[in-house]
Amino acid sequence: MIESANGFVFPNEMHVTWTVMIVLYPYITGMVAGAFIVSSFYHVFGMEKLKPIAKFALVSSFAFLCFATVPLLNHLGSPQRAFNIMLTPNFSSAMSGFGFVYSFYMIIVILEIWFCYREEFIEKYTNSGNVLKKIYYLLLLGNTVQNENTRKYDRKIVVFLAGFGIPVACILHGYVGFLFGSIKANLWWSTPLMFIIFIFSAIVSGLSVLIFLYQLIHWMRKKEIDQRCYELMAKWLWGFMIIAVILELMEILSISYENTERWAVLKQLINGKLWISYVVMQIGLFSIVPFLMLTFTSLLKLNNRIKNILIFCSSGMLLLQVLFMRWNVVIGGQLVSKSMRGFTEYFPGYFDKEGIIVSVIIILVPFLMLRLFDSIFPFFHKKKVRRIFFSEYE
Amino acid sequence: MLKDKKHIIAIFSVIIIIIFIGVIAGIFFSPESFGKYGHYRWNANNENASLKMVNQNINTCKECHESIYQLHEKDAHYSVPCVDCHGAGNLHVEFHKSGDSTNISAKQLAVMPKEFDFEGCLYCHRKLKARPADFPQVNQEEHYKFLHITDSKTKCIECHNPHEPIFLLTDVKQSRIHPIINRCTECHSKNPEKSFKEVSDHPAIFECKDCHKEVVNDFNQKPHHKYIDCRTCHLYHKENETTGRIYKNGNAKFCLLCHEKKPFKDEKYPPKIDWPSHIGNLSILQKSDEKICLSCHSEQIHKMDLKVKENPHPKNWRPEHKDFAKEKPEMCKRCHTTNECASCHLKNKPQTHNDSWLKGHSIAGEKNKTSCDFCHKQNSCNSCHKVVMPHPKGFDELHKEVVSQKGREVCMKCHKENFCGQCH
Repeated sequence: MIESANGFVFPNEMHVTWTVMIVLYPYITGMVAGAFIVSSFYHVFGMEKLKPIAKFALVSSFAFLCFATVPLLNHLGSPQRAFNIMLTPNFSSAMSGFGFVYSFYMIIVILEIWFCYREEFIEKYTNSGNVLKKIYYLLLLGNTVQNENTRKYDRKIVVFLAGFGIPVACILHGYVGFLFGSIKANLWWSTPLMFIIFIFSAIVSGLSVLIFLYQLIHWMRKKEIDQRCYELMAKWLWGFMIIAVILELMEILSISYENTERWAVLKQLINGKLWISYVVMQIGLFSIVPFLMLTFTSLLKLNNRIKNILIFCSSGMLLLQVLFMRWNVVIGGQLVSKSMRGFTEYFPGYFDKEGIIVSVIIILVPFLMLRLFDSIFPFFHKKKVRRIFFSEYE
Repeated sequence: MLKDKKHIIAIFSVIIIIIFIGVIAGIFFSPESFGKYGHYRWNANNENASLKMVNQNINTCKECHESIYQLHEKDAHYSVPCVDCHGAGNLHVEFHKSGDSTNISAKQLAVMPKEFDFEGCLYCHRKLKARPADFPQVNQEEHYKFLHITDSKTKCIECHNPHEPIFLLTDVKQSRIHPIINRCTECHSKNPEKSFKEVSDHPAIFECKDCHKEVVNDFNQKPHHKYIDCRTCHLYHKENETTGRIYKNGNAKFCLLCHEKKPFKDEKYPPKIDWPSHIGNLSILQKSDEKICLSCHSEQIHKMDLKVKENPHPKNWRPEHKDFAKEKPEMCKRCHTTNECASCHLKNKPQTHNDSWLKGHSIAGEKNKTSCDFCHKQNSCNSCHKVVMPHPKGFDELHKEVVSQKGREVCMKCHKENFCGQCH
């Protein structure tokens, strides 16, 4: 591909080094943190209405967590070196800091899943044949004792882990925001608001992906959704998306009102290179439209069928909104020259190592993994009822 | 109660054991010499230093590709090493030096890349405002439009030979030094009392026409001036902030860049010829550097007897230039090559070079070696001293090798017997 530039661009800025892989990395990490926080709504804050989705949220978080580092490993190459940050830890490195937070968070999620699903594991251990029985026995660490006391202790530990996991999840994704926000040489990234925006957008993406998958899975399995749970999640999504979008806009407002030299170039970036991806897509189509849709579903009394369609569509749109937000942050920041007088261009290519096809695969694999996880950690109760998607069931 | 907590103890024990194993693994698998002088593996320095050189030196390429080397050295790409375009070349050299032509896989690996896409050339020559203006750069779209290239996929190498990109007739390093006039003191020895505005006929910025008025005026009457300017043919290669070299090109191949018929070019514009049938055949050329096009078409370009406006030096300059040349030798060099001084100064030995000069010349040489270079060739020190003089930076570390190769006698020419003992 022939690279091109507008204005005053230094030769070493022609090539965008942080590619679409670095867009996917905060996107997947955001879904991890968001889904975990949603699961904690039930476990820690006792929101009984969200019980049907709590386990699903936790396992989703785990599935995305397993693949959060894949874009990074693909981008950097030599994935066998990934464990070197553990063998020779450098605590003053901002980049390796993510590795430590990630590992710690992984332990918390695995522990919480283990305690949550212990009851199911014992049940499967009891009802399984030879090989499976041994696998479940190993998974249970040889302890198959189950009574009221064990359940009570497990619940307490789950509450503790979920509570402890909330700040860790916030740190996990806030840290990603910090990595960008702390790069003072980049005009588009360097803001202390960055990690706050990242945390809220993470919750939005977590809620969106759960709503989207919850509805989709139930529709495909022809099962009834829990309307109260679904509506409550939609309301939370509405609330968090308002905060996230307002923060994103307030950041721009603040930069524009300051009207320092960086606004001169960022204004051109927004009106030029990012016009479609930022103004039209991120703010226009995928923020304002789902906001209006969720406002209707939250404030107006609508038919359940219409309500569910609107919530489903808005969750899908908000998933794209967060993806566009990541793109605009990561790629947008690199399009601006350090001279503040020019812009470069970026297109990832279709079949490149860090191209569109690879990106789509990396995005889809966690969803396929989630499908596989369902056979080990069942998310929902297997209660077959009539097909409800696009149908009324009041 | 404890029985009901056993599974909790078990899972946390597993986590603790894994962490413990990790810590132990960190101790055992942490590379040797890691952290000795910082957060890195110290031994990696020596390991990397002892790696076999992959990028081949241009002199290695010269051994087999002498003709290409000569072409490359004389033209504008002389400072671009072979590896920049052709890759490291280690496998290529290894295969051809081994003399084993039966090894098919080694033969395949030895093939050097020759086909280049746009990015190969545009990496350096893409038009960027941030690049120095004197650096040759091209907007591919505009360039093709200007030359009426009909096939936008035409590669640069279809016209430009990477080894000889502008077909210079004379060696690029021998091209005429031409000054850049940015400040008053670049022509005047002192800051002038008057502003240039008060001096009639004094431009603010010197352009070609200010010194070469007659030629530029003549060029402006000719058809070429509508499409190109002076620097299209007389490319300027900046060497430092005050000087550069101007290429006075007249090679037929340079004219053919625009005027040769090619399948990817528009037939009508610019006017094109079949080459070499236009001149009959190439055998009529006496020398390869003959300015064959100019012998018939110079009238369509400009007068070829280029004269500067006037001698920029004052009338009594010849007897007075000594002090100026001593004070600002670099300024003389901007227009005059060192050979020009030597053409007069070699006739008479300087007065300072008396019988005792040989003893004390080291002090003068160390202080201002450029003054020696006016008359003496750069390697003239070497003919007596057998080492680079004055000693370059970092010689302290390298001198051991020089002593072992050339013997102590070389040192003893200048240093006393006990000199080594001062440190050792």
